[in-house]
Amino acid sequence: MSLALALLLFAAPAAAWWLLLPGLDPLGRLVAALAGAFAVLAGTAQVMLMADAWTPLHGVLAVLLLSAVLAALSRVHRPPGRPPRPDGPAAAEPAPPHAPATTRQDLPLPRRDKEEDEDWLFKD
Amino acid sequence: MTVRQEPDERARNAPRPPEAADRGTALAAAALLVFGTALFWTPLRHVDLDAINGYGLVSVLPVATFAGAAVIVLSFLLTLALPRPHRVLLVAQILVLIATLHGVAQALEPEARFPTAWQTAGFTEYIGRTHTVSWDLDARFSTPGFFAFVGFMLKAVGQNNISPLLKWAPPLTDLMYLVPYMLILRVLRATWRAKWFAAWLFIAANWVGQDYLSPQAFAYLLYLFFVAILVNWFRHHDETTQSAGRRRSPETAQRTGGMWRVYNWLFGPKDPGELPAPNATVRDRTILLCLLFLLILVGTAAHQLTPFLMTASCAGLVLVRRCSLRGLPFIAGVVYAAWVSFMTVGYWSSRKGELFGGLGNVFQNVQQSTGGRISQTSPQTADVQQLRIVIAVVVVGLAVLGLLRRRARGIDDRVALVLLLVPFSSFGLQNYGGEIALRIYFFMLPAACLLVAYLFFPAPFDAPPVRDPRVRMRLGWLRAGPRRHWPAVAAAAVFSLLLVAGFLTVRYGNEKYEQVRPSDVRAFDVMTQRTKGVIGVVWMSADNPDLVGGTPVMPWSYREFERFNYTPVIANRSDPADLSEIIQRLREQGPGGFFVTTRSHEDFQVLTAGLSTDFAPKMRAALAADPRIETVVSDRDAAVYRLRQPPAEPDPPVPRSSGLGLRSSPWTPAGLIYLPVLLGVLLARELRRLRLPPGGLWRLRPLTVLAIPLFLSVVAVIVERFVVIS
Repeated sequence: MSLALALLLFAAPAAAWWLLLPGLDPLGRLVAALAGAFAVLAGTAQVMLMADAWTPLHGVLAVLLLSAVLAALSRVHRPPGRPPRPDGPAAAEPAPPHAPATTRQDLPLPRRDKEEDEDWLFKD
Repeated sequence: MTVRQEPDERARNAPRPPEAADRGTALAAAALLVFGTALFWTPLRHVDLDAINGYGLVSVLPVATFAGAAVIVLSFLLTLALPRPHRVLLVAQILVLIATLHGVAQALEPEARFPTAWQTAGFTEYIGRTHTVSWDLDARFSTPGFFAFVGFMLKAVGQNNISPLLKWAPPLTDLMYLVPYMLILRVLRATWRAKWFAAWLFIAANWVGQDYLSPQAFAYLLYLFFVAILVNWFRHHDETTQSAGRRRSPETAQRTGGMWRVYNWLFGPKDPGELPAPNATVRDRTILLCLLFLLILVGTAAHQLTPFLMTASCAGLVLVRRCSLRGLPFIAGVVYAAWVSFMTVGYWSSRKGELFGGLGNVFQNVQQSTGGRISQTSPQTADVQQLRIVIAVVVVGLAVLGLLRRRARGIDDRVALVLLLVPFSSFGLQNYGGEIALRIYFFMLPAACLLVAYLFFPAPFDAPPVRDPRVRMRLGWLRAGPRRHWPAVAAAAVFSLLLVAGFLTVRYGNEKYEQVRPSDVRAFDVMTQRTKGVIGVVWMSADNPDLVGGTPVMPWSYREFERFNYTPVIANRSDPADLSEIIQRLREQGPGGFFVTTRSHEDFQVLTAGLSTDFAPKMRAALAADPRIETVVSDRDAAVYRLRQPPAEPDPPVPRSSGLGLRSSPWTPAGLIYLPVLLGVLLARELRRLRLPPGGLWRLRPLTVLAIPLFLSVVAVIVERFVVIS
């Protein structure tokens, strides 16, 4: 019983981190989600202890709230070019498996032409 | 980049090995695994734990159990000899190995083993009851993160009894270590045999016993997560080792001779030992960077040594150009220094000299950690200690050989090298009660196991089994074709068998006194029930515990932590019936004075301090016969005595919890403002770095310029606190 509850308590932040990291491969995503769950749970307990506010019930609520916020972040801050998650049966179009994602190599190198910046001065 | 790649097309077209023979061998390995497990566990029902001698658990394990362990090992190695990986079978074998090696003592003993583990229960119970910590009770309260975590989890799921967790923590922890370790192994340029063998070795070589429910075990898990995320998603974008073009011009290529061979071996063109990093989007890496920062914070609050190793490993990876987050070591270092300065004041302010006495005393640390641990011990315990050192030296030595073998093949294993060397940096850090050598071995294990696996399976990828039939090789049927892995697997099997035998010996080598019996726990329960106030525990020690750094080998203070005081009595070796010292000390304790002795504790004194075996029975008989002393509880395993008429004085009040013992200095308020701003700037700098293209790092300069004065201010505040607070 306790084991099941503990797993549930782990599952909430882990699921939130899982949603937050859609671009990773499944194994990496799982490990990152697990690490995130550990960080959220242990962090909550530590903050409660440091702040002299040790109430496990509030801690559980805080964990759930944090998980909800993280999950909400994953909805809000969607990478550009990726279609929103299909919500209803109407929107059940197959999403492209590899959305055009930005990696560091894809970032455009900004041009550093001094002349170009000051061109407007001389335009008539 | 001159990287040898796995030839995809050829691998696809290569004739697949006959499936039937493959499946037959796999089934044989599975059957062996089941047989070995049965052979290991079935005879354990009749084990007599009381017959354990100084060699520990191996002295009572039946022969069939050893045979079972050997069969389990051979079954794994047989699976490695197959032409392709059978993942389900390999996972099953690793799970069985964890249960076998790390669960055997837990299954045999009724209570959680290892007295130190019980103090975790004590700290957790203290936090759950008082809702705070008390820095003056124990140094471990200065980094209470892990105790808070366990206490919170237990309370949240409504589990009031910590003992099941305490008992089964070691196999569970080892299982969890494998999750991030898998991720580290994934990015390495190695065959599946090397990777699975490394994972298997990580379980079998971890005899250090730091995996019980403790802050260091938890922080180690966070460390592995940290390293796994770093090497997976934050590798350097420009990962070329020495390219052939620069150094191998036609004229240098003609240079021959011994010195040039060494030069080429060291600096010649090499392939990186890691696969190209998985591609992650900027957004994912942003989130992962925030996760790394969280891991640093949580790890710093949980253990005092591990954040240092996180910092050092990250810095090492940056130095060898295997990590692109050049600012992360600074962030980790600032967090660590700030934690030590602001949160552990109570600890360092009272012992400034002692803390820095250990700093730099490397030679003394070496001596204390290795040779110093063997003194006055019984020959059996000394043998076990020697075997521990031998195993550690052999594992590290083979790891170095593995590194050299890979290097000779032209592969540059920088991640493994960094993870192997970084733990040594903690040698000069702190004395740590002579335990630092064990910790270093523990932190070297991820890299060491990998490199030992490379020694047997150094190939960067599985080459197809083709050979030119015109070329005659000696022993060609073993060196080419489908059986070409057999010699390496056979050598690995010999090593694995020896390692597992060594593991069972040294991991449970102190089981005679490291087991906790139900009576031991009951003895402490009885004392808390008999009195209301402070409990003065008097315990017998064969040597002066101030010199040997001893604590009672009992589940001391496993609850009601603050009520216990401990006063040692140095045993009068010539006359066990001489009770004057004990009675004197009991009188000094006032109404709450108890004399406690347990069988584990007595065996510890016999085995490590050379007390005679009949000392404890004679002492117990004298205590039971003395009219001034009342026997509170007594059975074969544990006994508690107290004075019949204890004095009413002194009756000190139970110490109230004192929190974290935070203290301020004139500059502290400024520091509390600078510190979060500095961390914010540094973090923003790293986030900005992720968004810059490879050539645009000069755009970080404004943030760097902003960070420097903040960094200097924080350092100034930390120094000021250290000087002012005393």
